[in-house]
Amino acid sequence: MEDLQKIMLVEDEEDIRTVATFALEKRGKLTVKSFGSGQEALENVLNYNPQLILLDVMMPGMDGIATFKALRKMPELVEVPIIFMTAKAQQNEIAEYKALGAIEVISKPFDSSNLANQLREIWKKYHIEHTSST
Amino acid sequence: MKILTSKPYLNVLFALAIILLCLCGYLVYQQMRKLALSNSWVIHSYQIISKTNHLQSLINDGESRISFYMLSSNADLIKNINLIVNEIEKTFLELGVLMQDNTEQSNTLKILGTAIKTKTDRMHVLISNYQQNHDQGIAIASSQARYDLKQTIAALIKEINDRELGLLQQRLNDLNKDFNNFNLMLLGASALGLLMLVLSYIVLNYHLKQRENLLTVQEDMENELLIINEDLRQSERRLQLATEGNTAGIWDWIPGTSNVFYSDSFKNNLGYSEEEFPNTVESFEKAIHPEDHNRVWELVTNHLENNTPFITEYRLKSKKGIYKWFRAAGQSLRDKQGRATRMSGFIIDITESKKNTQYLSIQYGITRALIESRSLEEMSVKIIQIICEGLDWKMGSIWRKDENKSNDLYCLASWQKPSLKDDEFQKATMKIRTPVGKGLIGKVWQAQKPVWINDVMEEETFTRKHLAKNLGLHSAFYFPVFEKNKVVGLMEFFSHSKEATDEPLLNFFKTIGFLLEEYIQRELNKKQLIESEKYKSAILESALDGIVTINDQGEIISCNAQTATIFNYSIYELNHKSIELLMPGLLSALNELRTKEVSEFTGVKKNGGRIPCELTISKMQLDETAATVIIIRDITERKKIDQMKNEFISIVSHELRTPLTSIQGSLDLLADETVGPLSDDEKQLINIARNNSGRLIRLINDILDIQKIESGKTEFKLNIYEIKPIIEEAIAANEAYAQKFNVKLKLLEPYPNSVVNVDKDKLLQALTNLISNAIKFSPEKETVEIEIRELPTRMVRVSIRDKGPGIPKEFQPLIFQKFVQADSAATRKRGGTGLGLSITKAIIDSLNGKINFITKENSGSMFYFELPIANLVDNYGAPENLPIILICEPDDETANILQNIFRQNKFNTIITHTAAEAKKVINQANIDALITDVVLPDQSGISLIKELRVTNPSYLLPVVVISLAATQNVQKLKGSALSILDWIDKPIEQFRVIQAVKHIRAQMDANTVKILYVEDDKDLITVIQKAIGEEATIISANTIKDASAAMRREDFDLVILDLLLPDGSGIELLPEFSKRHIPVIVFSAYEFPENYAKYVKSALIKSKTSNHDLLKLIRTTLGQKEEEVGG
Repeated sequence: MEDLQKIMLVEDEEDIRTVATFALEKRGKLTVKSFGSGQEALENVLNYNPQLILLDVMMPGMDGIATFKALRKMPELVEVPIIFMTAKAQQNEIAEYKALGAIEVISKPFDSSNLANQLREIWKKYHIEHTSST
Repeated sequence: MKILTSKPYLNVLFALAIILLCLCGYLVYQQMRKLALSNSWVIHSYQIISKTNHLQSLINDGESRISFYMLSSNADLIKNINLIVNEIEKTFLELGVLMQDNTEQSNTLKILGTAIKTKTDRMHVLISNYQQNHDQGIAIASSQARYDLKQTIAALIKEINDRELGLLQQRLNDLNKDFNNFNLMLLGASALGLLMLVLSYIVLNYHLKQRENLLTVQEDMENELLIINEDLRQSERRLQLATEGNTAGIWDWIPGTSNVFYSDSFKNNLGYSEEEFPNTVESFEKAIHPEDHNRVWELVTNHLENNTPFITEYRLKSKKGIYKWFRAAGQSLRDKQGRATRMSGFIIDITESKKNTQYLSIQYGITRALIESRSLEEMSVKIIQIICEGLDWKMGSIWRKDENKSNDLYCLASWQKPSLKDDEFQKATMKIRTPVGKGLIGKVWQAQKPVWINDVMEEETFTRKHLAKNLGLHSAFYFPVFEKNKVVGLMEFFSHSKEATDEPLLNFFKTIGFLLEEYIQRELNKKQLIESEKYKSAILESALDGIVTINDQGEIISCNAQTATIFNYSIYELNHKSIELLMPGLLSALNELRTKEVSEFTGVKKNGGRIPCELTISKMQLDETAATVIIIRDITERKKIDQMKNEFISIVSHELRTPLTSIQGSLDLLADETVGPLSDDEKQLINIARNNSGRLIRLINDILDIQKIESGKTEFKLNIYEIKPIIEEAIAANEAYAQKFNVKLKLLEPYPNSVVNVDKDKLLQALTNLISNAIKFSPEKETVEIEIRELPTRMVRVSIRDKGPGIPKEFQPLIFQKFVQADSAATRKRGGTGLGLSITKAIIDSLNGKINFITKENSGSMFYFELPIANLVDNYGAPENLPIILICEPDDETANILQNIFRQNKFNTIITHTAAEAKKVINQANIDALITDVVLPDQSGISLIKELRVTNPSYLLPVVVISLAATQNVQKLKGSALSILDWIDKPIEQFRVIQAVKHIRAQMDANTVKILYVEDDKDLITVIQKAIGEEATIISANTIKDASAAMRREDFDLVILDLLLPDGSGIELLPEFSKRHIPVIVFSAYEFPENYAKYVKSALIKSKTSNHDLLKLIRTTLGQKEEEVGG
């Protein structure tokens, strides 16, 4: 299992982008590339080639769900786990995202001191599943 | 005789016959006489001959005696000689008489007489001579003269004899001839007689027959008469029976006379004895009612003259003077001229039925009046009139109480027969005012029951006597009209006659009373009903819900205006249309929907627009048909509002959280000094900001939570959990918080291994609330104790105890209310939202639990909740014998989806979240299948399966695996010996799970070991079945035939075979088992023949084998088989 390094963040709210980037880069020592819209993310995802994608749901224009579906259609990204990070994280909503195929849902407000660790754990868990079958 | 006279030829014939017969008789008679004459002549001749011979013998005798006397001198010989002489003379004289008719013979006899005389004389002489002188006597005797005389006499006698013989010959010839003639004649006469006899017989026979017929007819007539009489008697009896007692009688009258026969019952009926009612027309005349008299006689006359039917009804006065009603019918007998000679018939007492009919017709009239009348007054007058006319009463009134003013009784209405001469009495009646209890009216009113007065003239309290007398009124009858046990009216009737109280009449009035009471009640009800109907229909029509009644076919019977409005139709358009027009598909779903209290259904408007509806469906019985009432609520608005609310909550949640995310995130990073070290002041301020931001977030979360729980919108995802791990998890989650307060958390031992059916997250939330509360209020360095205890009520109690200040008394009742904290300063200090306990209570309530607390000021509080203990296997009311599948899935969401699908497919489920739990369950419960996620918190699902296969290699537990990118994994795991039935991709698709269910079922079936036990001893089968238990299914066959049938039907893993079976030897079956490769254990009382050993795994002898041995052998044999298959 390779270590988690390259994260892509899709989030329309600039402040949150900043905070999350701070939390992941400064505190979590991860590399983050963030995009303000789904459209933008889709355009750049292949160039950037992230290991994990953090995706907001409520976004103007192309929302998180649509972005997720579009990402999932890209064969290059089949094995890239996508995590929803959203304020819309009520029980039924979480179930909905998971049913779509999100491997995890992080509810907002997130714990910025801990966000990087959280992502690392999810990453690990995801790979146990993979390796266990290999 | 008429018949005989009508045939005169017969008389002639008879006369002729008789003459002929007389003639014949005469001739026969003549011939007979002639024959008799001839015969007498013959006899005459025989007499003469006999006499002459006698004479000769006498003479000879005499002669001989004399001669012997002379020779022997024996005097005895001549002692009777005189007698002989006398006899000779007598005989001679007799001959003379006999021969008188024949002169020739007479002449000869004369000569003979002389000779005999001489002879006798000589005899005497001889005897005397001899006595004197024997010799002389002998001489004389021997003289020729004596001899000659003797000869002469003999010759004469012979001459007579010969002549007589000649005559006899002649006479015999005559006789013979006559006899022949007679015979002939007799024959002729006999023949004729016989002929006559035959003829007479025929004729007589014929006539006798005729006569006999005649007699039969006569007899029949007589019998008929008897029967008619009997019939009369019978019919009288029948009449009496039919009329219940002696109410029928018979009469019989000879018209034109005063003679009438009345039967006893006729008379008795009227109360008379037999003598008191003489059998005359006058009796009847006296009894018949004057009004009926002429009519009846007219009918009788008509009947007699024109034979018109006589059947009528009339009144007869009984002895008591009371008129009774009778129905009479009669029929007359007529003579040849058609005149009535008799008239008879019956009468039946119809007083009762007449009365009943009368009552009925009155009742009918009253009912009509009740229906038709528009006011009480109108009704009253009508009723009085009907009763008076019907019962022949002269006058009636109705009395009421003046409730408003004086409380006096007054006459509301009165009616009298037009035939009465004046209306003074009526006028007086109308003027009367009397209080209850006073006067006749007042007293009767007070009595509250019908009163009968035989004669008002004798009644002291009756004030209208003088006027009543003028009209000739006597009997009076009063009856009260009730309304709910209260007298509201009194009816009064007068009659001319002094009549006695009459039970049927009282009953009749009771009925009338009920009718009136009912009417009054109904009028009241009607008024109320109309109002309530108006009210109801107002409700119905103004209801916001559509209300539709449909029949069995789904046709709309009725609907309110709102229904039409909801669907944009007019009411008329909906009438008798199918409900499917409004709600397509409803009819087929109706039965299912009916079971729910409310259900949602989509309706279709006239313009095709769709509307969400909420339906309440109930069945009701409408007369004889079943109807369904559907209450339709248009929930478009509600849906809209719901959606808006959801959106609002969502938006609030999002819109508040988004800025808070930035704030909290930034503050966290700052506080962590991620971006650089902070001064103490900076730290302090940043912490304040951070704490409050955190509090705001919790507040938002709590508000959302409680709002959702209270509105019932929160979905509780119930699962079976052991409670202890959840508590441990909650403790772990609060550990950091506790440290912050310098408080310890401790789970007290021992703890029971209780299982509960809960939503784990919700329970955790509740626990966290309680634990964090306890921490918050706990003094530093103290311990918060958590205890799990099972209660005898099948509840598990979890208590959280702190050693804090306790809850102030005044605050205790409010503790579970929202935004309540004992000390708001403390709240702030402790960072609570004031919603924690409300949420906790709401959660515990929703889990069917109870929450409460015990507190003591300054020494601490204990909050506890109790939850029902659940069964490890969650069968949700499903039958317990369903197969159990263990779902090992860390993600609740997925676990729930799986659980639902398996439940629908008739599995009971156990959910575990870790491999460790799963292993525990597998060891404890008898699970039938396993579905596991590849990713488990403690180990991988694959390694779990590997473990299972190693620990229990013989049993192929059906296993299904769930994983991300399962399809790819299948490739990787191909060929491994894990025997995984199926791989299901995440996210889970239902149809894939259903496929997996099918695979599981197939595997389960394959796993069931089936043993065919061929044995005729049923007890032994039971014993073995018990010994084997659930290890295998035993199918038993008692005969070879059954065994063959079972074999054809299904596959077996093993056969246990008895050899001695009712229909042959078990050996016959061996080749068949061998062909199917089914191992066979022979279990028989006999040694197994060795030459068949190749077909058989083992052979056991019953008496030498214990059950244990047999079981062991069965297991080994089955084990071998599996290895063979596996290999």
